[in-house]
Amino acid sequence: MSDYISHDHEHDGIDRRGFLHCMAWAGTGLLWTISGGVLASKTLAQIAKASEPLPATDLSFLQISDSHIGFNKDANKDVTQTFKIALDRINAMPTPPSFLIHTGDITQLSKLEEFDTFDELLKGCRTKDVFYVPGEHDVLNDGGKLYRERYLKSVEGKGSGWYSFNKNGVHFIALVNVLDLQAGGLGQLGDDQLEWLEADVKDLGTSTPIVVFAHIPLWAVYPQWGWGTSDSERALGYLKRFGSVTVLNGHIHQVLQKVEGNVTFHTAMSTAFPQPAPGTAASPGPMKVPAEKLRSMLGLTSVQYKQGKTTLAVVDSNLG
Amino acid sequence: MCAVSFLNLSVFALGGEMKDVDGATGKQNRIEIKDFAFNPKTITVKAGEKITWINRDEEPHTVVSVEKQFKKSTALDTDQEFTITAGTPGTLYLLLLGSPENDGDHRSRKVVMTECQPTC
Repeated sequence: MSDYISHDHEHDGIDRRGFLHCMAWAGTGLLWTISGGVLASKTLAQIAKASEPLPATDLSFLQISDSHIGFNKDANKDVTQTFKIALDRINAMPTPPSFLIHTGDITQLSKLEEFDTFDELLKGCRTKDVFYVPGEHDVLNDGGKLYRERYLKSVEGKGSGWYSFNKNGVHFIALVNVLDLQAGGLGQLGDDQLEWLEADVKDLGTSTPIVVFAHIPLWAVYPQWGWGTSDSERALGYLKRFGSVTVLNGHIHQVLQKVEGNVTFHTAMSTAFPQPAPGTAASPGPMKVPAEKLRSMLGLTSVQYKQGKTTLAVVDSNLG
Repeated sequence: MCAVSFLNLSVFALGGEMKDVDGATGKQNRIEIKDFAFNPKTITVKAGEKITWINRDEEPHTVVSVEKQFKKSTALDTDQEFTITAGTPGTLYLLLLGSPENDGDHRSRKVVMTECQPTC
């Protein structure tokens, strides 16, 4: 099975099948944008067969990230509103996702009232199952105590809150890499968590699709800004033997993708504010964009898994 | 995205108990955090004086002593301040994590605490 698009006449990374697929998505009432890069092309080529209807999906879930409830600066003075728009998009999906994952930075400052606001807003979401990992903004001042009390109720959180679960034959691993931030601001998993991970996947067959999610990217996106995890190589080492590993992260408020062997790395947009592309600004702080452009830089990520296929389809959509 | 500011406090001249000189000099030793960097990078103060960090970024920053020589600040929101009293003579090396300026040469960013003068 080819991992690449078969006809790329325009050299734009989109072939006819891909374009038709993209249009099919647009026809669902959501504005789906396919961002450039290997993964998007691969996704389109694999799931859009011109002679077939859209594939029946065995499992679909949504990634939301970096809601930063409590942020009220120029980059977005109303993050509550944009988060609501994201939830509206989820509620409008013709096929609701099985569950959501939130890849951290629920709040801006780990404040009780910020968590309360988030929880209240989330009550408006039709999809009730949500799996969390913390961002560094969620564990300020108390080392994540409040976060763990609230967001690990349906799972067996170990250590600082990592866990795993199975859905439809896919093994999901939720990792915590925002405590004990390292020199340079890099994330860290730590020995305890890594040992747990090694044991957690030990007895799984190599054909088990793996989805790993954590807040800070598990690949070196831009270490100068702390966009990476110091000991992620060791974690990925334990996952090397698997045929399909999908790594979903947040933290950098923009879509970036990379494929390395059987591992697909993907970062999601924020629902709150964008951040600059690596190295393009004086600092990685919130990026101010014209008001009319903001929603096009915020978004969600939809992930679908069809049993028998090796690769999960990862599709980003903005709130524009 | 949030950065944590670390201080590496190297005390080289322990001078016994520090005298409480709150408000004695009225001098303002302020370090702004802007674009994930300290400004000024180097400041010289007298032992016993106060040093105040103020966060001018839209990102929260936390001021931490790597050697845990004082209790770390809470996460400072925009325009929020954090003040410590300079201890015995020595040098506070400043390191701002997650910063483009973080070139590993933390010795260029420091608070130099000089001997307490008789007037203080």
